[in-house]
Amino acid sequence: MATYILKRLGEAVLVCFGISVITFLLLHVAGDPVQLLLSIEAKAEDAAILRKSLGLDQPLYVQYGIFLKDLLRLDFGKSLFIREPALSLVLERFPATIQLTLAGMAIALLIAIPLGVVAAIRRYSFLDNLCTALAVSGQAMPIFWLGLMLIILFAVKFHLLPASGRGTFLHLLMPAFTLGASLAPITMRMTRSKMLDILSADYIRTARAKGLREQIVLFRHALRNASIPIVTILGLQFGRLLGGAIVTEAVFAWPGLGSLALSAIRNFDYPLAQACILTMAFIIVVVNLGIDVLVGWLDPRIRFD
Amino acid sequence: MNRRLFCGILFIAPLLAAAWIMPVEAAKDRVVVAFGSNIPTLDPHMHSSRLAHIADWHLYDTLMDRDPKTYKPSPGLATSLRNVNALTWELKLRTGVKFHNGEPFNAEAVKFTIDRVLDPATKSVTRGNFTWIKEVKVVDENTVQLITAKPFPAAPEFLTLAYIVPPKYLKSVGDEEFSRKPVGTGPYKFVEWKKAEHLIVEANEAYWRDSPKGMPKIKTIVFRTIPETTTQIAELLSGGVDIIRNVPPDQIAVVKDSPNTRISATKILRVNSLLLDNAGRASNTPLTNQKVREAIAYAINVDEMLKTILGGYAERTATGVNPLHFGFDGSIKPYPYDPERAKKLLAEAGYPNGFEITLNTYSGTITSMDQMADAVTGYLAKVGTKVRRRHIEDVGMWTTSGKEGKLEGIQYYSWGSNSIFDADAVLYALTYSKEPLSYTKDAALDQLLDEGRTQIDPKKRQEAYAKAQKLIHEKFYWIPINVQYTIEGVNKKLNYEAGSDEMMRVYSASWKD
Repeated sequence: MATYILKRLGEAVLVCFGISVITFLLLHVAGDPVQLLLSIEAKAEDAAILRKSLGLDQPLYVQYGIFLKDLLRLDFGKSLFIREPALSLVLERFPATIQLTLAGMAIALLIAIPLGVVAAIRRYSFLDNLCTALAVSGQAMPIFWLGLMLIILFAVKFHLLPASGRGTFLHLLMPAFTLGASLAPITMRMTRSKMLDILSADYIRTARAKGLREQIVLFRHALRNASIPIVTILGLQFGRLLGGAIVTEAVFAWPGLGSLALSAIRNFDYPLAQACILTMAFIIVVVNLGIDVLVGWLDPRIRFD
Repeated sequence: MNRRLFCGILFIAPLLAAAWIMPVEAAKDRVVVAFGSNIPTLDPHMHSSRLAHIADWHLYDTLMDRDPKTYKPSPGLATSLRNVNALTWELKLRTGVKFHNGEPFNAEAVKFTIDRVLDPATKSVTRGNFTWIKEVKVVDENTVQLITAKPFPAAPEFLTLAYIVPPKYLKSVGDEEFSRKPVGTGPYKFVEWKKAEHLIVEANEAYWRDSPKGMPKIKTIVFRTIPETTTQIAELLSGGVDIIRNVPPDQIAVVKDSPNTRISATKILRVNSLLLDNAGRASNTPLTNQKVREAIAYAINVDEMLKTILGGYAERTATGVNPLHFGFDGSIKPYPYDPERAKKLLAEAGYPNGFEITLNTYSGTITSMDQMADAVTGYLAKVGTKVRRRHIEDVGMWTTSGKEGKLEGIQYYSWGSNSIFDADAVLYALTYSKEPLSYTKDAALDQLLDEGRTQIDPKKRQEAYAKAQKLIHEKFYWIPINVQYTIEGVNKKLNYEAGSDEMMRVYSASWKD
């Protein structure tokens, strides 16, 4: 197990390195931060002076080399716009994003698991069809659209919830629901199909034949076994959830990593964008590794060697 | 830990984590302003961000203020300003002014501030606004002299950007800490800054009495970051914020129709024009022919565009110079809409069946850019001219391509004049032949612009700019479209109006009882 984890961590480092090369190149090809920093009206001499002082006049490979050297000491450099260490800016925003992502995940699970189970038990019933319809429309609904509709309804029309920002528990409800709604459909479909598989398995028939109560059959025998693929799906969807958080954070003015990354990319703030993207990549890699280990622990049949 | 317990925790932990409850703030003696993006820094010399300037305007004072009615430079921290000789501006400074930390404002602070900006080691992005100053001389405690390399008549304008910082405090805490916990002389004091969320400032009770900004009337101002315009509008309508900037023209009715909100709109310094590559700098197109440029000018129904697309929240300018600019010539009339004459001119120029031309556009500063460019494309099609559209998303790329002479044909250009209310700020940059953004080469025009730039006598400057504008108008070097408006959404109970210099003077706002 320990060798397995070490091996995977080694892979994670390689993945992060690859991502750093790609983001570095894409950002540098896409645009020029100096012009943005100076405003359109600025003169060419001023741009040249600033470019030099930021080290952006060096060839790309030199810039990347410097970046990589500093990165080994976990130094992402200073944000070009905010002029503070990029990593500390990222860490500052980190709790807000984790809070939103976890809350979104919780809401997704609260919606998806019960509905998935019910849909499986009452297969092809009206309820099952309704759940399918909900899942399809939920999956088709863009996050920003749902977010805005919620704002219009609950903040503008009924004055029940604050429209945006982070502060109280009430502030969290709409963004978490918006994000959760993007994850719920796939989790629900997964729960339903796994439950259907398992409910027709031999051991369920045996359990029923033993005369166990249906609740115990469903929750102790079926759902527990279905939870393994659900956990896997959650891990795989975690990256998507972080991506969704970028949009959700923008709509709800949620001060997280996503909105920081978005503004950093828009401004071609190389150091900050790198720090954001690499942090997110690192989280996704670690979460996936964690899920793999966890699934192995949940399912004694899986071995790591 | 057994597996069942673990599964339970897996499902419940996120909920618990999500339930971090933070304190609610519910004071009413405050006003909340929504900003579309984050303030990068509170050090006034380290950014060119409009939003950060607005925050600076509350925290700091500048050597020259700007009169909120005439938008002309007026005394600020400097009480008077005079030319001792052609190369020396002498400033008398206000006495008895203190920074928020009690440090006195004096000649030393002025010298420290300007030296700091000019020092390349500071890496100030506003350095270019001060490079006309060769040296700052302290004459006495309350007098400084600015020595310039060349006569510089626009000095009062540029001194409206001279935010003065406290030397002792800055030296003791360093640049980085200063940018997080600023100290100025302004009407509001720094309280808290959460970069992605808000900046909170509080009324400075000890603000200097005869300041043109006046004593603050509302205790607290919160500048909140809300990136999405739609979310900003929702916050305004639901009472979460009191002022939002940049209401899109198609949302004006929403804000107007709400019982609690209103629109405050006014023209700003920004002018939008179609720049024609008349010198053939990027490529040799029919635009080098004056008749063709004239035809394009007559083919576009600017009045209709302003009325239907911008809902009337725009003003036409005939010369591309803003009526708010010093040097504006109001006697020039806009080009009339006359598609027949346009067709005739095109035929005379040898293009009876029209021609193909590129229209370059970019994202960012122009209100309803896409619809406006669509309209231009449509009008030109009516006279048989086919428009190829090229859109550049990124402002940086746009500026670089423009400076390198790569934008062929027509550019849908927008110019904010760097908040300088002087014709020089727009004409020089966009039409002087040696300027990187200019697609015009005209020796006579250069001469007039040089004259306007170096003359100290305002009358002679005005004459030079009037002549320059006539020349541009007669040669159809560009086709001015409109003076842009700033359209803000405001809580009806708030006494506050949008400003033409795109500054927000929230310090002078007050609540109606």
